[in-house]
Amino acid sequence: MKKYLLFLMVFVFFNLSFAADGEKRIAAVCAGCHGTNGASVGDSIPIIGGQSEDYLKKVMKEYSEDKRVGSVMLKVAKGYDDKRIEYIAKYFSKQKWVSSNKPFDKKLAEEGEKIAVICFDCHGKNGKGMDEYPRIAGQHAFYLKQVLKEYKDGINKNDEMSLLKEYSDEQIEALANYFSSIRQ
Amino acid sequence: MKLNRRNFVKNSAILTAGFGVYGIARNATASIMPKKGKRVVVLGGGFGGCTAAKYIKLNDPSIEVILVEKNDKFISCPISNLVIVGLRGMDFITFKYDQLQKNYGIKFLQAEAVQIIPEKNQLVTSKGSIEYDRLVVSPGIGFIENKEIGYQLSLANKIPHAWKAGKQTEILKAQLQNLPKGGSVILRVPKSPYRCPPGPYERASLIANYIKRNNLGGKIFVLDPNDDVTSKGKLFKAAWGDLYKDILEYYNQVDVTNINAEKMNIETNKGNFTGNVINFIPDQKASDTAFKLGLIPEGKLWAFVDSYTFESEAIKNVYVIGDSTNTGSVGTVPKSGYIANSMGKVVAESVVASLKGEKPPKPFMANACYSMVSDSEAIWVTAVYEFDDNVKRTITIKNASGTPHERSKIDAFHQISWAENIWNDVLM
Ligand SMILES: Cc1cc2nc3c(=O)[nH]c(=O)nc-3n(C[C@H](O)[C@H](O)[C@H](O)COP(=O)(O)OP(=O)(O)OC[C@H]3O[C@@H](n4cnc5c(N)ncnc54)[C@H](O)[C@@H]3O)c2cc1C
Ligand code: HEC
Ligand code: HEC
Repeated sequence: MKKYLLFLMVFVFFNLSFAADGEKRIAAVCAGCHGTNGASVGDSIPIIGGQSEDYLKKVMKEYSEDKRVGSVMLKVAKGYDDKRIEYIAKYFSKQKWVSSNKPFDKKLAEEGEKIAVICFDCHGKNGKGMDEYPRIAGQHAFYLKQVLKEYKDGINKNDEMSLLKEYSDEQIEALANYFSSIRQ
Repeated sequence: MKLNRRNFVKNSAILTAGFGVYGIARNATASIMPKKGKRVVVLGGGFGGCTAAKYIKLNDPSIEVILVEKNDKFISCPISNLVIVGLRGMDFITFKYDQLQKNYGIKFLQAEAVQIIPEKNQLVTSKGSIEYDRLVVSPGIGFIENKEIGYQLSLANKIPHAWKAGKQTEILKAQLQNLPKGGSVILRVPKSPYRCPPGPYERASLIANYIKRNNLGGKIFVLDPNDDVTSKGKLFKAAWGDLYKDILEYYNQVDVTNINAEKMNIETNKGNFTGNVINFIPDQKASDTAFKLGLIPEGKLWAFVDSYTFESEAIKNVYVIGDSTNTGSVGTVPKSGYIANSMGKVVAESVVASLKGEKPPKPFMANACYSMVSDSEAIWVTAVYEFDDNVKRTITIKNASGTPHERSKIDAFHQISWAENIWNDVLM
């Protein structure tokens, strides 16, 4: 019972502090690169609004500790300590996911669909993601292709994604177009 | 701090006289758009102003927001260097203001602001005067004329600065298109502080690339009054050394002593230079508008603001953001579109809080500037800033800033994505 009460108090406290408008400012500055509320319209920069909370938390933490490949994010993330990352992840995961508006290649998307089943195991049916498995459906094809190549080449290291080493560039292109084409 | 009262009165007298001549408004102080509820007027539909207007509405939709801008279109300085060398079209950097009206209910008044009447909380414009509870001003930069060396802004059709995007961008673009084989270009960098520290070097790189791409066999002379390249120096110099060895000549600590636009000649302490194209980017100060409105203290060049709220030190209920602000009174942030966008968000929270009689949260900002060094590779600089209680200024967060190790192709894509996203955040 005591434990439960404590949990409740912490829960209430966290939600109150989350509601405090003051912290919005630390998320608002991301929009200059990721679009308002993370709905990126530039296709080399990923959509982060509506991304899974655990994944956002993990990635931000890795950037801030130089444990992930990246460019600008390796600098930007260092402005964010654990508490801020917690907030940021919650903030962006609560935004509406706005799918890519950039064109994709229909033929390639069809090719990709044929080999995508294995990806559903982790990324969920239709690539909507959950927990530490990121949403990839409706993400920009350009970004997906880029990041899949990084997993393939081992520049981006992740055990669960090491299966990408077996994929050809053509297959990667097809998968990127397929997942980007899922736009609800 | 004392206001530049004399100039202020003189200027407003001239402007009021002007109305009769142009017949814009018989009685400029006649009130238009009567105020009902709480109202914020935002002056300047650039990076800072549009962001402020949008984020005030996002923070509190019940506040009436009027955006006052003299032009009917937004033309972006970021990416205009690519337009100048033909890598992008003018249409790519040109936008309407309609989304701000449609999506957020912001009212748009296309008019030129000419005076503030502090006692009445009134902004006088070419279309009449409007009352405000709070006024946010983001008017951009102004240029310093230097008659001693023969530089006047009236020369800008012949030797363009192209440091405000629009007609100037097109003039420089056309001049480059007509650059003859073996012809040379002179680019004069302004003395710090000026808007977009890496901008002149990006332009120099792209012009060198243009000369190379088109096999023109000419040269570009970069004349810099500063001690050294003011931003991303190592990365720019690496690119120049690797890519434009025989094309780009860089000179630092250059004092221009005379400009002869007829002969297209510039005399300096480092020798005389003659060019087919001269891109003279003059030294800078706050926008003429900021002077006219009485926001610049006597003898100063920039607007001083409260570092926490951005309220003007000169006039109560008036807030100044963007390039016109004095850097020292804000912190260590550069004059950039990204910072103007950040300031717009800070001031939005600041005015909304002040209308509720609350204390706003501490300023928090970010900056990012991507620069192309060729038609396919780019570099960047980025930083995150926070208000520091000890120094009472917004300063860089430790370790949260830097540049890349080397130029890259992917960053050229990121530059375009960045631009599309910041335009989205500012205008849509
Ligand atoms: C070539 C170049 C490249 C650049 N590249 C970058 C970049 O890559 N990244 C970056 O972050 N920044 C970049 N910048 C800098 C950026 O453009 C400026 O820092 C930014 O525009 C500043 O915003 P602002 O709101 O202060 O002024 P502005 O955006 O200039 O807006 C001022 C507005 O106020 C209006 N106005 C002024 N006076 C009046 C009046 N009296 N009545 C009505 N309206 C008025 C003007 O018409 C204008 O629309 C670049 C600049 C240049 C020149
Ligand atoms: C200067 C532009 C810029 C800014 C500012 C910026 N980002 Fe990024 N972001 C990028 C780029 C580019 C990438 C791709 C990785 C890289 O190159 O660093 C990225 C990647 C990410 C990713 C990885 C997404 C994924 O699907 O794996 C996350 C999460 C992220 N950014 C969050 C943020 C947050 C939160 C902020 C604000 C605190 C922010 N970014 C600010 C440009 C930016
Ligand atoms: C065994 C589980 C697993 C499988 C199977 C899997 N993934 Fe992943 N995927 C992950 C995890 C975990 C991550 C996050 C890894 C990280 O942090 O770098 C990830 C990351 C990604 C990303 C990066 C997302 C981003 O926003 O940066 C993409 C794209 C992706 N996966 C696509 C795929 C595709 C396509 C397939 C099928 C070929 C696939 N994945 C199969 C677990 C899996």
